[in-house]
Amino acid sequence: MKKLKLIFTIAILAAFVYSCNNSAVQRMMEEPVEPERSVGFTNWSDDGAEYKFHLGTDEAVQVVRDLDEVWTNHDWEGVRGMLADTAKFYWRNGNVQSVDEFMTQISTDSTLLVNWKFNGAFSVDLDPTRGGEHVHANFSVSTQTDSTTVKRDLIERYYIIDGKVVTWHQFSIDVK
Amino acid sequence: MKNFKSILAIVTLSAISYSCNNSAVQRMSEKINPEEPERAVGMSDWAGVEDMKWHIGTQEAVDVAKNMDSAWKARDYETMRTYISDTAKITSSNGFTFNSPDEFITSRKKQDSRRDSLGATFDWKFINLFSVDLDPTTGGEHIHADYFGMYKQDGKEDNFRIMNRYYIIDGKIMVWNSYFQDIIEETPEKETEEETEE
Repeated sequence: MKKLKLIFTIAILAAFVYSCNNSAVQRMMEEPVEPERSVGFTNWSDDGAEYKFHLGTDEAVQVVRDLDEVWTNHDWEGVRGMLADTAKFYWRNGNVQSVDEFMTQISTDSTLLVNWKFNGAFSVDLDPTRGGEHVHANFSVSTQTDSTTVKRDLIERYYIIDGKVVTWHQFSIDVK
Repeated sequence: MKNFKSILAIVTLSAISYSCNNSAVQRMSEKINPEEPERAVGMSDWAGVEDMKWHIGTQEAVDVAKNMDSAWKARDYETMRTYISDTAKITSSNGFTFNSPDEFITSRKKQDSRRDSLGATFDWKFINLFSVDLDPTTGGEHIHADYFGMYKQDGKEDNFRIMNRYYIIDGKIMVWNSYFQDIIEETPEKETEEETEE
């Protein structure tokens, strides 16, 4: 009887110690995962909320890399396949085009002597809980028309949803 | 002696039980707070940093661009100058690079003065502002600021978009490149036609 009491006491004590420490494990498990850091500001808001920029994903950047590849290879079907049907394109000179107009333009431009180098790309996202990311890509472009060569650096901003380009903005700076 | 043995047994068992579970706590803690670098995405082909990806930058760098903008709006040229490094390279969208920050400030003053004399106005509003960083372990961040620009003169309005990219180190602008996108204004005739069609 005395031994049974002892075993019982030991078991209760061990269980108590384990239980205390186990709640610590549980608390750690329950600790909320903090959202990723965000910076900056925007005046874009479709719901009145204020948003900051988070880092986007490699998947969105890959869309732009793939698009650059098919464009470089003059694979126009490949390009078309990566554009949303309602996509809008804002060229640096102010022209705004639909998908069909854009496709016509780039396939015609391919007859010019245009060389470009893809310098870098990253993606930012205002609300990672919803679809859509803003991929920024930098290019150095050289365009030869007759005897003139014009050099420009471009920032192109792609708004990408579900692997398709929805909006495209092109900004340029002349290189002298 | 018997009691002593019992106490010893209890203490040992409790210690083992605590120790086992405590390692679980430690493992969890390491999992939750891993000392891993922040997530990075994208690619860069710039010489020397080809193997790096982009991280999100800091609010401090963003604030430099914000403060610079406020100073410019207020035509506070002295404050503007404090945000620009002595060796800064500032290039406007037409490719013109200013030889020094002072040359840039002098040019701003002249342009503001010229616009005033013509009765013209140049205003702009911030659309987006954020910072990205290739290597958070070394100084320097790339701030992207895009604006909607409005120039008015003699009743005519010219709108455009600007994307300024600043490279900022220790609160000073080292490189400032201004990228441009024109906006083609709708002619009043066209607007009337559209209204009629509707």
